[in-house]
Amino acid sequence: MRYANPADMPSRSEAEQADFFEQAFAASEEALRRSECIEHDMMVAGRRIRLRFGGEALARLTLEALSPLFVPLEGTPDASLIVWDGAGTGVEMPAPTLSNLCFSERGDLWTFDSARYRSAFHYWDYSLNLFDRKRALGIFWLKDAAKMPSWTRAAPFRTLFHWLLADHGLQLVHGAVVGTERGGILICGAGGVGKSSTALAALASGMRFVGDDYVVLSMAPGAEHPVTGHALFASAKVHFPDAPRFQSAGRLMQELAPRGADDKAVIFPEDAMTASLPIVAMVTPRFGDTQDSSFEPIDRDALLMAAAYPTLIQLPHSGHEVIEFLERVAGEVPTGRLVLGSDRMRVPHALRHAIAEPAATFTGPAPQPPGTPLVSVIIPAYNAQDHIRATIENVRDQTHQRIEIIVVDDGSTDETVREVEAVGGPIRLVRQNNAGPAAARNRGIEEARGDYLCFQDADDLWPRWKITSALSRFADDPDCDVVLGRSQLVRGDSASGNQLRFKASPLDTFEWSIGAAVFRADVFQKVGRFDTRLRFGEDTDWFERAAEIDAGIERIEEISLYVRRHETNSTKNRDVKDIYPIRLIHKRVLRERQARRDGVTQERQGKS
Amino acid sequence: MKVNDLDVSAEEIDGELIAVNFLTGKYFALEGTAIEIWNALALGHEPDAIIAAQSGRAGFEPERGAQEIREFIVQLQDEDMFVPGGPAAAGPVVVGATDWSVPLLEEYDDMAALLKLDPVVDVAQVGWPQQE
Repeated sequence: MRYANPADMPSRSEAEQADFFEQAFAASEEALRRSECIEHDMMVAGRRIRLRFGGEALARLTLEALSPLFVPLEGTPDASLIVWDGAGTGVEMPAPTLSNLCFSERGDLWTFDSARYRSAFHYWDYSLNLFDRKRALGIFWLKDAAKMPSWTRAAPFRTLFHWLLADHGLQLVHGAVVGTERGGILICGAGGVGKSSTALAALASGMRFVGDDYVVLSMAPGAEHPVTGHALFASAKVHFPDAPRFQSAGRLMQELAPRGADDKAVIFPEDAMTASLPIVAMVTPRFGDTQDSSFEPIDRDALLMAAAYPTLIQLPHSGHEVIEFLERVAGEVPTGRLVLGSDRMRVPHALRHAIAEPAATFTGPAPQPPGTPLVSVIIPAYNAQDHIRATIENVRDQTHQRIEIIVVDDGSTDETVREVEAVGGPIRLVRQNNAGPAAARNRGIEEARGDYLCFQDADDLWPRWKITSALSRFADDPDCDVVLGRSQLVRGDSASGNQLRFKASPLDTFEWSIGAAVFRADVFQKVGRFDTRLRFGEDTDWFERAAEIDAGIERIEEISLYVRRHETNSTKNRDVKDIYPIRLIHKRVLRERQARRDGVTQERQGKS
Repeated sequence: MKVNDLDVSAEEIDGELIAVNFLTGKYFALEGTAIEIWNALALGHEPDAIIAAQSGRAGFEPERGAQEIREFIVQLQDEDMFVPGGPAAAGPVVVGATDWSVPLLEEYDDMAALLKLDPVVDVAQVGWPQQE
């Protein structure tokens, strides 16, 4: 059995992707013919979008979230979406001729990467989303409208809106915008940081509400208001137990019960929505320990990742341009962190004050991690002549500058050593006979003098914030031994990380990459070093051993590593048996067996 | 029958045989007589020949032991570790010098945790994916 990374699969031809779209389009037209076609126009950020529903059911289910932006049907729209379901129309949607491996977690269909035709499949509502950029024509297909989940009703056709608005220079962002007549605050961040409860508290207090969950951003550099937030979905989501607190914010979607721990109640603010507001500040929340809410300075990169990451993992075909867009936004408006007080209903007071006095609110330098610890960056290199130079330059681009670079040449037979020597600057080059990446990393650990260690493969890249971000987490949590971020598959050679083409999302990438982590130096005394008997899987094995002794591994939801797929990746054309060697699995068996025995012992002790 | 080489990888390490079915995501540990039976099947021996060879072993109760071997082989087949085909064995079935012990297939099914899924190729089933 061969190992296969979907990123290595060859793209399907343009003709094949066009053919699939045309088949889906023909089925969509048939669905419209067979059912009562209901049309609505809506205006989003000044763009007219025509929705053509195949049947009443889908139109009714999505009406509440979309209707506040409806306008009378008129003229030629900027884009059209055909929306239908199989069960209601009796029409079959042709399946793409893709193996199940091509259906990615985020929704991108691997190998369908035409510049003209966008495509995605979402497991969570079993929907197919297709968009022909040339004709500005989208198709949304559900298997059965009756099974539409509440989050689709709250934010219908999100993926299609993302694609069609992007072609107008507009960026869909996972975040909320609330404000006053003076302007709005863009509130970004991952789920669970207090975004929605803040937006709903603002709405309930009579503040203006542009959106929760998703908003559209436009930019006009040099204008009086360089950033504007636009409404898209007239909905807000909140955890079920909190819903009664926000009754005055709008009408609660009738749901019998939560469909799982992550499910949220949906509130439709209906008439209370504002179509757009100029953005006066961009913030991300954290929970504070006082009653009142306040604002504090934030590191620009920390805000950028808090804003970009949740968007990147949810919107198919989104890539580095999301980071670049938000970087431009953060360059135009004041930024900060909203420290949420325990009295959530007083948050609007802080928001109003910030909007009225942005200069006084968003002031002061960004916080720095205490001290400037030395970080050792260990780069094992084996026949890495094509990439090693860019990798070293990329490491030097880190915002944290107090680093020592240790390149461990693992017996390369190419020009790797010469390339390293040619880079210049302070680099420690250590050479050894070829012994594999685990041995090379261990050699680097021996040589390292830093308080913290990190490892970079000779062909991968880091975002500039990787070390700074990890150090701030270490500063927050003295018990933390390892900070582990997410990886993003990329193609491209830019040392800085710009112009990289993202392949799918961090959700679709190996979760336990050594290169996405920063280690406290002494954790290797607790866990031990990498198992040199393993040529592959030594990273998985190390994290397994670390978990076994309850080492403090903190997972952070941001991109910490760009994994380059290229023609000479070490996993390429390998047999699965090489990637997951039996010795690694044997170690797992021994651990599991012991855990089972311990479980039996504990059970017996519990009974006695 | 023969080992399902397409999906299964097996190797003896430190006196145990570790077998992985990458398709189902399960992995197994075998010891003692279980390894002997696995190796005999892998060489192309028939179940009856394996039972006959084991029957002279200390502690082997003919009826019960035969039943245990057959059940063990069915388990291996149910887990798609062995598939029909392969050449017939030439030599005798190798039997250990220790007493008979019941062959066991120690099963683990948390492969997802083990592999922490870096995508591994699966069967190319074309069409709509299974609803999650």
